[in-house]
Amino acid sequence: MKLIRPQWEASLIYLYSIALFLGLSLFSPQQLYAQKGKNATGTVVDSQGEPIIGVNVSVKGDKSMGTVTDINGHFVLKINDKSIVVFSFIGFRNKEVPAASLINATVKLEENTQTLQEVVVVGYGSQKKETMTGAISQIKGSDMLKSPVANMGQALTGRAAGVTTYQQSGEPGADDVTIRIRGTGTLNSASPLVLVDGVEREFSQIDPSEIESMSVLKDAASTAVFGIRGANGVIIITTKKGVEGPAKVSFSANFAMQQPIRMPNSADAVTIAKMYNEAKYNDDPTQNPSFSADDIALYANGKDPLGHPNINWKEYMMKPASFQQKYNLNVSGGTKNTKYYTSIAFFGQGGLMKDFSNKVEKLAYSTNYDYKRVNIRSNVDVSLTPTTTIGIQLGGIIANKVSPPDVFGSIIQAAPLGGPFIYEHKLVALPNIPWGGSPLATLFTSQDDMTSNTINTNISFNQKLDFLTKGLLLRGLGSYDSFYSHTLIKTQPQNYYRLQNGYDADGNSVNVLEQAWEAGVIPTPTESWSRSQQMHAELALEYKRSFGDHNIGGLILGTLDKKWWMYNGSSSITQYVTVPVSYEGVVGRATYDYKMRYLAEFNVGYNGSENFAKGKRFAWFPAVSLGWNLAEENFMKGIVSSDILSKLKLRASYGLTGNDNTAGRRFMYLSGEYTSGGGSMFGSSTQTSLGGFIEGKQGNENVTWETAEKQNYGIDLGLFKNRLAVTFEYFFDDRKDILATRATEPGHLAISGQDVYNIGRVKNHGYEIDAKWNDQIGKFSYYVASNYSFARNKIVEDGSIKDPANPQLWTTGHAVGTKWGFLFNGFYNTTDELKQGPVYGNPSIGDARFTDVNGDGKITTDDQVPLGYPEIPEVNYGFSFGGSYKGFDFSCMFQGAANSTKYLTGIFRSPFATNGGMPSFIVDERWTPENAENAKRPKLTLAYTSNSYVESSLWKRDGAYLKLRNVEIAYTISAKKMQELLKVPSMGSMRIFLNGQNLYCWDKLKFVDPEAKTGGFEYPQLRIYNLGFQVNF
Amino acid sequence: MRKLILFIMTSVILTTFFGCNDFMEFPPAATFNRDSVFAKYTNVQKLVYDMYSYCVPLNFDTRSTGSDGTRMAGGSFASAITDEGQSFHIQPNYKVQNYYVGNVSADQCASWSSTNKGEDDYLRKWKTIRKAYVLLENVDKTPDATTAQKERIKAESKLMIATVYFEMFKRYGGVPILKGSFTGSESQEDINLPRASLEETYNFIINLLDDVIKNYDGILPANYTDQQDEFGRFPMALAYALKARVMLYAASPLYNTDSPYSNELGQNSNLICFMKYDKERWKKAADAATDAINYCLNNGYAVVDDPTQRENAMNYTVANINYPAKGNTEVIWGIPQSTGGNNWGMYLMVRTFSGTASGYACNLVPINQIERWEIDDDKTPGQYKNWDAQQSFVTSVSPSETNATKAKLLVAAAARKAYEEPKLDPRFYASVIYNGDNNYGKWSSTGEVDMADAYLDNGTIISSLNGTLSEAKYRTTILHYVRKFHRGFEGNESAMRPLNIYFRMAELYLIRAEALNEYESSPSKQVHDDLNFIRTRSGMCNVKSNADQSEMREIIAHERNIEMYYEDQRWFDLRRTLKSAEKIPVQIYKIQIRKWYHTSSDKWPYKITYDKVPYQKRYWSNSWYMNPFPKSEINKFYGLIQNPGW
Repeated sequence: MKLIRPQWEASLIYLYSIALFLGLSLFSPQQLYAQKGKNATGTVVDSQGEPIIGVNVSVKGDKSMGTVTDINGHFVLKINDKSIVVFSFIGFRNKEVPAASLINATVKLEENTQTLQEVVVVGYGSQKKETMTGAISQIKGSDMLKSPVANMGQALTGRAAGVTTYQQSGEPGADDVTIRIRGTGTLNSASPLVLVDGVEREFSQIDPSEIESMSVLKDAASTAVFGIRGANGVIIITTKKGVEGPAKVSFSANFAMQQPIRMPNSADAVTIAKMYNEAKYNDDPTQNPSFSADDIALYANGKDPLGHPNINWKEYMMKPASFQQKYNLNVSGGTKNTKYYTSIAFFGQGGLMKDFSNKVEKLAYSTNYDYKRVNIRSNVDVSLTPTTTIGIQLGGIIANKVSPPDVFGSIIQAAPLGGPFIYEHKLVALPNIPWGGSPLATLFTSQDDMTSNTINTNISFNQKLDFLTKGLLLRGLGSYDSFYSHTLIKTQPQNYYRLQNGYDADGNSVNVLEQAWEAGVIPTPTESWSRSQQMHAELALEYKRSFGDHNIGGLILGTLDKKWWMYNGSSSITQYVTVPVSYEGVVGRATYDYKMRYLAEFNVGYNGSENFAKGKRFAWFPAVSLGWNLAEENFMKGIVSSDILSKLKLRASYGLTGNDNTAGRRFMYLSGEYTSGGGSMFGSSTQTSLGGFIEGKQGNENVTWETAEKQNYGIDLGLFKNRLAVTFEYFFDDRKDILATRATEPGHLAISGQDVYNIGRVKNHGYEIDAKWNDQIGKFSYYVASNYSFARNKIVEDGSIKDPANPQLWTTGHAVGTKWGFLFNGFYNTTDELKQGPVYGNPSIGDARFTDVNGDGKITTDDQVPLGYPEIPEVNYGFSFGGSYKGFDFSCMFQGAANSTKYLTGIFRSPFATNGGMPSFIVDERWTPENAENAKRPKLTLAYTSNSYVESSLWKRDGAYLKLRNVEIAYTISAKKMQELLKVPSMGSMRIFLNGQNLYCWDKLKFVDPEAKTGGFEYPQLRIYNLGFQVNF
Repeated sequence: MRKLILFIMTSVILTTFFGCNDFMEFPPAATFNRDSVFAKYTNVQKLVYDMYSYCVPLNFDTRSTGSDGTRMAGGSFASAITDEGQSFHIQPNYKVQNYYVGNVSADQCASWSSTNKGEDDYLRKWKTIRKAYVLLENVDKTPDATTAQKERIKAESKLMIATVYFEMFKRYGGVPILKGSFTGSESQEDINLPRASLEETYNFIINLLDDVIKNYDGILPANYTDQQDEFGRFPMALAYALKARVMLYAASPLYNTDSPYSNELGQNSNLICFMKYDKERWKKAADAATDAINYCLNNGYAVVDDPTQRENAMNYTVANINYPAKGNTEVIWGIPQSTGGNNWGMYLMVRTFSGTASGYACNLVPINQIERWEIDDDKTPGQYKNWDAQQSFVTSVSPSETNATKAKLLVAAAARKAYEEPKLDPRFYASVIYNGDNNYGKWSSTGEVDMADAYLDNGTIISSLNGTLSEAKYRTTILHYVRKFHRGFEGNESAMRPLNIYFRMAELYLIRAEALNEYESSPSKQVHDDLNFIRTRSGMCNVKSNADQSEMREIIAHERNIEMYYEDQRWFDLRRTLKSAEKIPVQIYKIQIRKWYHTSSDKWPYKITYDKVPYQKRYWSNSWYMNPFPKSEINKFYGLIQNPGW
């Protein structure tokens, strides 16, 4: 395998895929126009009004005349008046409709409660939902499309029980969310494995229109097949495929406005000056104030904008909103033998920063953020023979991301009376305020311009082997992915000017601008690139057959994975970059059910990780699961009517999965590596630093993977003819052998970089409830749905020190990520209170008082206690409702989280400490003698030497929130009306929609978004108002 | 047949995907491990170089090039804990300030991180010891090293182990004794070593030193005169000198006693003292000092003493600043600094920051110490200037004098009289920066240091006329700064390549004088000769000729204070002699310097006054006689016994 491939060659791959895309778009054996004669037309929907794709539509008694519904549920069928049209689709009851009534009709199919045959994507295959015994949530691509967000990860939010998302940055092109499935179960990386079309891939930048469904695999039964990679849960994304039928062209366009959510407000210059004086006085009353009354007056009246500026940096630097646009064009269809889905999409997202490039003397590049992305996809399935199909799936992403240095932290840290700012095209710095202190200076320092391209290719085949034995299938998949990115870093030093007091010819005092820093030549931009490639191969034998009421299935599958890195910049792995990462493994599955009433399944993964020493690499991960469709039992039917209890299924699973994700560390069994470093200084006449060698980690040959023992118990309930569907899951995970260091080793062992041992253990348990009601009142159909999940983990062992005298300091027994600190117990308001003691450090009046938890009469670090929940919430819930009436439909989704503790740090804890700024909410919260009653924080200080500002419950805030995440209102103009309006006979329906994301938030934090950082601050999350349409041809 | 095909297909899948073990990657075969290092002498040398990095605690810590380049957080030396120094007062979180108020935790004191730099870094000691043992155990494997090269590295490694153990001995008493390097696969019992007794630790150090002295003569270089590039590595002279220092400590009252300073350890008190006073220890120390002096004199070392450079104390400065290549024949071992002199200077003088954080210093000189430099005018020992009464000096400059240069010179000359009339020990002028100092080019165009606040006769301050380094302007209150380590480079520290001296020969004479004085019933000639030798080379008169043993004890302690001023000795000297409780919790005085004006339109002051003002009361806890082990280390519960009171 040739590893280094120049950029142009990667571009060739891209061109090739474009060509393939275009070729396939033209390659359409079906006519693009409607069939001659009288046509029955309409849309097939399910009980919730959602269009159903791929419904067979045929004329009763004439199998030759038939079609299937397209991706919007539309159908056109040539008929004669007396025909009866039959609609059939797995999982739904067949419906017969007289052809005469089928003119632009909406045909509603009822779910077949007896054999509900919704298909769910599982690891290395798919299953009927009815026979599923594991814990899997599935999200439809069409649901995710309702969120007008840039990032697929954000579209996940609130849509599946057991999935937690956490977003800290909204930066265009860098706004990935942290995803946790069933919370955190390990001390190491808890990120789930994400597969796109069966291969581990990045999914956040995929165009949502390409996505058919997303499966979230949560328990051992569903993840055991992934072996050492399954313990954190698995997300499987499946892209759309073509369905038999005439070519359908669909075009959509979206135009959106994005607003930042809750940038904290900075206090104005007058307030800052007063507060600064107050803080200085608090530190030492004998000191002169830094700002005189004259200064404060000048800040207030604005008469000296150069010497006494009052700059609202937020408004100075940011636009109130930015623009986002998205277009998608897709063509799909196929014959019996060839099916295709092709799509091309463009996404463009502007940044919130103003462009200062023409506003100062020297700046050759824009200062705004910008992100552009083109997604292409071409999925083709071809039947070569009646028993052989092959599939080619091609996905490509070309993206360009332009970004200044992360400037939002600077904006909220900057003082409105600081500089530099722009005056007459000059950058003016103020005396005594460091130049780096202004966000403007940060913004101007550099620009990163990163272009990346991603090519994902799958080639698969299916060979039925019924000639060997009925129900046998051989299938295979090979994939090749390539990622390349190239970053150009431009920098441009600026001329700086300084305000100086001088005198004019008449002896009057004037301010003059004196050049304080000469920019010099513009440095050549620096470049970096990185490249990775990966290959995946799998080969499987699958068997599925029914013997009377006994249904059995089996799977044996082998996988190979290899990933290479080439880079001269940064890389996601840090050790042994030149050594590719490989995995290999075998998967087995056996399923059995009797009348789909008694279900049993056995899954096993056997795979290995090279991170461990030979002999410690491979392991078996078995799981067994059982299910019982109780409602099918006759005795149940005797107890309760099937109209009331349509479904009652009990499930249980138990098994093992593993985790080898060790946060970039590799080959931990290797011992005693030496690297260059250290050394000392030698020489008498001249002094030279002589470099040394440093002994590396000792390595541990016994290191191996983490093992998760998972139990899951589930109940699926269908009530009132399945109008109400409820699923309840309870899980219990016991993660053992977690890699951790031993903090208890004596210091005199002195083995450098002491290594990890499989000593950690974390238990995690929780439950999920998912309920959905849908019904119809006349022509108004509606649904109400909700999900709630809770997951709580507890460290059983992490190798930490356990002081027998102070069990409150032990990390064991608490959740991963819990913080320790003092218990805040009011402020010292009088000297008497100070004398009463005990005190911590040297507090004075207005400082925080802490509780002597262990009662030893002293306040020491031993008095720290666990303060709250981890930052990632334990509770997540979502509820949504929606409905449709005639052409209108609407939906609304709320999402919330609870049991999350945030800690104020950085500028939110310590104003003035960085660049002199102060968020305005601190003014009201601070302790003053007058405000002693209501104070929420100690008196202001510049020195931060009293212990008031150490970690304590004083700084903890409730991170719970409820957000109105998504609202959509849409109107669909039927194909008929479109044809009438536009006089184009081939016109399909058009849907116009208005939707919004992150519209409102109820929380207790108030000054920043509850998901944002409460110390540093990154690009804010975005509120999005989007207007779009989708038109079909 | 069908079954056969099925079987074959299944087998193919199974064997392809987990039969082929070679699919998995292995790290590059040529991992650079210990065997690779010891395959070449040039590699082994690099291990030797690394062994010296941060090997012992010194005033400056070479690991940091940032703003906190000293061993203790906040830029202070350990001397600033004692009565000979002072740290700037506004920053109470600085480690030295914690000692002043008695708020020192075990972790603050004995561990080192970017935010917490205690007096010692306990864990670092063991890292250095491991480096030395790895060299000692493996150097013989090096195929291309000569026997001489291998033996020299062994000697250096042994001396390193002894040196680091001594640094622990002096701070902690008995510590676990390691006889080799751990592999990590030892049983928990083998790893969890208990503390050895103080005596075992002492014997371990002395045995190592004797081993080096006896077996590596001619192998470990006596000095680096001929190998100047290697200066900074151990010479044989250090083995001799260190032995004298170890023995002096072992003879000192803190360790050489029947009963420990605290009974808290009960049965385990032998961890912190010998549990038996033995007078002979003084004799051993004196003999070791004599051996060391003789070895040094025979091998190119000498106390710097150019008779023409005595009165200006330049001998003293050369001994404290210069490299051997620049005439410092006195330094036995020191570590050249990796950073330029800027950091070196930063902690010794006023730190100049802009805006509100301006001007504070981490190592200042209180009046208590200024009063300890003897008066040198009439060559009578033991005379001291008394600052208790106000000092007042007329400037003899007209308040309206228009020649600014002339006026400044006159004012500065008047200011200096406080320090120059009567004339003090020349080492004072080499050690301290004071008001009116005309050797400091950085702070004023004419070079005079102005520390005075400007006052009108009615007692109001004229802030516009305050001196550039005055208390009101710079918020610093002690006002005297340490010159010793950058004399001649004041304001030009970046030109320096500072030398962190661990041992210089003058100390050997002071060790012998002290040990002999304690051993003998009355001070012998040798005691006088040693002290007078050190004083003479700095232009000082001889010590009192008829002092008895206890008087002489005071004289020797005083001489160590002056000669070894700010050289990281006093904190440990006061501890080992059990004098800390007497000398450290004292009233510290500052000096208030004022220049006086009749009217606010006057350009120049008519007089300058100095007032000694109580400043700070210091704190001492008997638990401080020994350093604490880091609490985090005790809390691993493998059996490490904490020192009393921590």
